[in-house]
Amino acid sequence: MHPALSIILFTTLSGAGFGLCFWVGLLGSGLHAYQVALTGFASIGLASAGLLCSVFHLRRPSRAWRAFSQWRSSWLSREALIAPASLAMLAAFVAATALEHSAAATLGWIAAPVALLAVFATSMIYTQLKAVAAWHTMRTPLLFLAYAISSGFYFMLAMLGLAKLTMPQHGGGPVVPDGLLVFLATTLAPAAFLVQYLWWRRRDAVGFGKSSAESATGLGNPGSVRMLEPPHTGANYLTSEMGYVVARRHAAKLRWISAIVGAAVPAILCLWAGISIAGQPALSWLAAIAHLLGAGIARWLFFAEARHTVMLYYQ
Amino acid sequence: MTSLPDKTDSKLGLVIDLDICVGCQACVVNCKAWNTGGYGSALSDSQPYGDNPEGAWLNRVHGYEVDSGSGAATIVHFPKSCLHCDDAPCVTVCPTGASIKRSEDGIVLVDESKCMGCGLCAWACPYGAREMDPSAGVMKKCTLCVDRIYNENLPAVDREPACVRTCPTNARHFGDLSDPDSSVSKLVAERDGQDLMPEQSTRPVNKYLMPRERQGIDQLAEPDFSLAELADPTPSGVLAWIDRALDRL
Repeated sequence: MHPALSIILFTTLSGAGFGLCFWVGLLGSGLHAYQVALTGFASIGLASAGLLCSVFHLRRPSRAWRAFSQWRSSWLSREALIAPASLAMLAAFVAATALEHSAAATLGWIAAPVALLAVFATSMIYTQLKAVAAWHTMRTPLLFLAYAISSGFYFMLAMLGLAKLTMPQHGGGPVVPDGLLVFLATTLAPAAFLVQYLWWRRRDAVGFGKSSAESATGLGNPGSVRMLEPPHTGANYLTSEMGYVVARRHAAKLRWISAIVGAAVPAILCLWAGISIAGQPALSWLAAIAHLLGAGIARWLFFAEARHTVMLYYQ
Repeated sequence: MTSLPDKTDSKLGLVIDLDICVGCQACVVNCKAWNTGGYGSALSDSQPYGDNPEGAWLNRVHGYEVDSGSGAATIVHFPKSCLHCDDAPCVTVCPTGASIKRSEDGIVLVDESKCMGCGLCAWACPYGAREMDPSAGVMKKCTLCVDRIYNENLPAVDREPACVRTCPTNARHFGDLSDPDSSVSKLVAERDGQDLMPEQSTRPVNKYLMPRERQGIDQLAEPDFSLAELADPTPSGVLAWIDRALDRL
């Protein structure tokens, strides 16, 4: 499938943003109001940037408001509704924390699962497509959720580092034992890529699913089918949208690069920093950016390597 | 609403006879001609006379070689357009309500004034029946010539899809596939009409009639003359004398 930059940025950035929403909502009640504000605004900013990127994919963006209407049947529409709802809930949590309102913690615990629901809805846009066998599996939501949770976590560390840098007098930190924090920091990135590995393994085996050139043309009974002449001499919308091959040529290399940048680098950095990771802005930012970059390369392959049944008509 | 209707009053669709189609592309051209001036915005092309001509078409004819493993391979011309599926995945994924399946006749249509051009419906269609218009930025697809089949300004004989009307070999048939007594349903019953990609569970309305078995094509008869002799004729008369003389020289 055509790996449009707008869609890669949309899914990775909004995934990281909602992942950060999840962590802020979950652990925010143990943080200082300044830290909540900083991490909260960062999560809303990341997610909004991602959602904004998706608008660049539209040919008629002025009609995007209509995407709020078809939630009964369409996952894209559901995503369009859940995403802003999730951000609004997190904003309410940040506001309640700043005002020292008693409902703050409860708001955070509601905002956390809704943020994951938004990521789930994003992933279902692709999971629901039966014509793309590589995507049509519950491993796809698992993959999107794994990346969201891991990249959100590294951005939380990075933002806490920034909070410490800008306002060192506010101590505080997530109400998580230091050991658990280091454990999460060193394992979340490799864990996300473990899910990615399982996804890749299925993708490599599944091909076009149950479909073939024979079933696509119905000509399987007479015999095997080979394209003799294409219906057009140049490219068309279908071949440029569904028949993407360039990234596939380097797929094996790109998989390794994404795993090293996205899993090994952040894990090693966090292991090196040890228990002080939340207080080391440089290292934690490096880990967050490396992980996001690795996830972005993997997301590029998610699209480029997926094959659509329409290409069966062009074989 | 992009939810599918529970039931449609009729199922208008096409039956395409792969045994008869000669791949002349007349249906492709007439489809483009009618639909560029019909329903919705024009069916545009980008760089039609340039280096990379591209454009939106609602009907395309592929050519396949089918090898049964014995005897000569068969050439099959394969027209492909929207199959107006009962369980159309392109409709339910649409976030804006632009994609619809009509409950009265089962035609799958795009309301272009609502389409935001996200392209997800084209990704959802396993057959590649939808193409983005390069200039209008909205999704294009076969309308089953909805602006012809009910059009009382046209003579009755022309109230069928442009591709069917123009087919010189009668390889394309139009009718109500929910009515078992319609001519198209009888054709499907008689020739065992096939669904494309039944494993995708889209339940297409359009059916394809497969090529019938060729008679005696496996036994290619020995011709009673040699083409090589025609290319190298044996001379007679004066020419034969000159030929012999030159040989001896």
